[in-house]
Amino acid sequence: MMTKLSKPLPQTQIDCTEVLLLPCLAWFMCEHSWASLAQCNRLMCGHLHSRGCLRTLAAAVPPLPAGVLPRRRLWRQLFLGALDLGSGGGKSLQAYRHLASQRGEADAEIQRDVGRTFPECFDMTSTEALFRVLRAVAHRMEDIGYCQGMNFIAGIILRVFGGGREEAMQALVYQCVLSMLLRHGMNQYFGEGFPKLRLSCLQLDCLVEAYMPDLSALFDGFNLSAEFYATQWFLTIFSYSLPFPHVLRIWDQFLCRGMKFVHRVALALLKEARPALLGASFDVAIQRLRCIGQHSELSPEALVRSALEFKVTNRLLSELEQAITAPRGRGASHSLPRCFLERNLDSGRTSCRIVSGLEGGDDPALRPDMLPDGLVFLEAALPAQRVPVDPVAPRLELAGRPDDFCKAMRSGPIPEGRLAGSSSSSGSSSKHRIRHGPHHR
Amino acid sequence: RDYDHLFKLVLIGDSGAGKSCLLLRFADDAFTESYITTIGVDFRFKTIPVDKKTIKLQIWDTAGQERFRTITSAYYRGADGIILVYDICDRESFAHVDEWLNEVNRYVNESTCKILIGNKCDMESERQVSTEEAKKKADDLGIAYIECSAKEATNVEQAFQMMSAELIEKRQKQGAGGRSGPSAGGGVGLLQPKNREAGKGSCGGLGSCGGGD
Repeated sequence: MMTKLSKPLPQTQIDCTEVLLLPCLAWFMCEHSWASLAQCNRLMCGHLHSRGCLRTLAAAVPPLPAGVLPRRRLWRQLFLGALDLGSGGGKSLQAYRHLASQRGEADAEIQRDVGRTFPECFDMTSTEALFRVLRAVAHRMEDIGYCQGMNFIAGIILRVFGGGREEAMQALVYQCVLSMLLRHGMNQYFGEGFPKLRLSCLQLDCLVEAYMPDLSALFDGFNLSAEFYATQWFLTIFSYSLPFPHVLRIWDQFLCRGMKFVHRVALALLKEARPALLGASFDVAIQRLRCIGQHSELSPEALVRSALEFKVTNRLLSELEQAITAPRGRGASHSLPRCFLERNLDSGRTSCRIVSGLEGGDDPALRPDMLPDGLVFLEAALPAQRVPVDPVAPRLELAGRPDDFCKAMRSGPIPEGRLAGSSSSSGSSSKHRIRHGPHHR
Repeated sequence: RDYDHLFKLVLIGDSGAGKSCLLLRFADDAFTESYITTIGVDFRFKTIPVDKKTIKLQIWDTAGQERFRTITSAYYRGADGIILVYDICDRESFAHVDEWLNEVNRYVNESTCKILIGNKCDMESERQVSTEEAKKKADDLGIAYIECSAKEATNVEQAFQMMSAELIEKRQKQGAGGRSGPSAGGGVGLLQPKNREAGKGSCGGLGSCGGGD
């Protein structure tokens, strides 16, 4: 098997052999280790990078052993397999060296943050390497620049690939961070106004309501949205909140399954904390939620197993997105367009494809040619942010305030029949909910 | 209910000014050199005695990077007190004080207490902003000023005590005047901001543009 595979396949043959090869590969993976996926992947010229293939394989193979070393090769393939970032080591090293040595606007911010990223395991050398990597990333992603949160993502990758003493290693880390932003879609999360981040949090609100209605009712009483407690989960893929061994396991899955796995881990963490949260006072609940990772007693394996028990599909997430961004309220403007966000791997920019809703919109701000960046659309379509409010506190402030932040839209409906195991008790806490569309009528 | 008053405070200021360290010192009486960047909004609460009253403080600690303001600014609303922190060893963070105040004044009303804290006053040798200059600035802005060190626990407790006392006074005044809304009766006091509309440029003179809303 191995010898056959190690012969490079001509480019033209791949399309026709792929169908036959995949089941063989899945079997091969089961028989052997995760790490050989890397080898096969290289030979398959990245055809395994379709998410479906990776998911099949991720489900079929036994989990990677703990620790950094078993991950180096696999992660490298998952990040960089078939991604042409300046072809050839020498050239990309040069490009990295150029970017990393250029001064930039964000230098002071980055310098402040590198010392505050995993301070207990980074020495001077690693901190310096992290600084250079982040500086290069900030230059490369010019529409985003440097944003807090990237330091933790780059920090994890740096830890996996070893301190970054040599420049070649730094260049590798740099490319992996770029891949995290471009291939794995994190660039959308760091954009101005964080609309994608907010959307993910609102989606999580809906999932919590579906899977843990009692918890959701408690949160509603506190006017609490996942925007408060899950921001750092989505922005750093848990590297901010959970211990390193947990992060490694979660990233294994995230790199294969995508953002929906973050939702699943979030649900698993909430499920674990649920007994403690129910019945807790506002202060205790809020504080607990904010540092949920420090209280978690699940092992990395148990956490991933628990996460996989929640079914969250891309289709469900996109349906929730539609429900959340749909025009709402009486006389809602119908000029809000429906659009899909797309990212361009070459430029790193996010663009949007408008599906419908632009007819008759006379707001010039909504004309597509006025929008350099698709995220602007999303930002306009999201409901107002909810801020936790202690229900027992006397609020003179709020009584006199007509603004909508307290009665902001709760969440969109969960499409029926989408959730395995949800007991369809849609009655609870639905009085605050604004309904969209014909569902549930 | 195990407290007499409950106040919502929000910590704001440039990234790296030491907001989280101040909060850690106040809430847990601890300090760590290895603190990590705050992402999003953090939360702590603490109950303290002030003037024979029990005060519960709910403190929201915000990320300092400018980009996060779209997220953090929602938390200013309904705040009873704003704690604006700058780093005395970083002139830039002091220069941004006006900007921060303009930002919060878009969300809170005039009766909200504000306090300016110069943090890291243990690092005298690296000081870039003198006490006099900061004091003058705070006077101009009409807010209280105090220098703290989260590291050496200097004045941290006092800053929160000061703010609480001010808030109690304000709340009692408000209670006496009836529930006539937050803007009534909030005019007097040490912590009233005078430059509410500064930055918008519509009126330069202090107080010449009335109540605003």
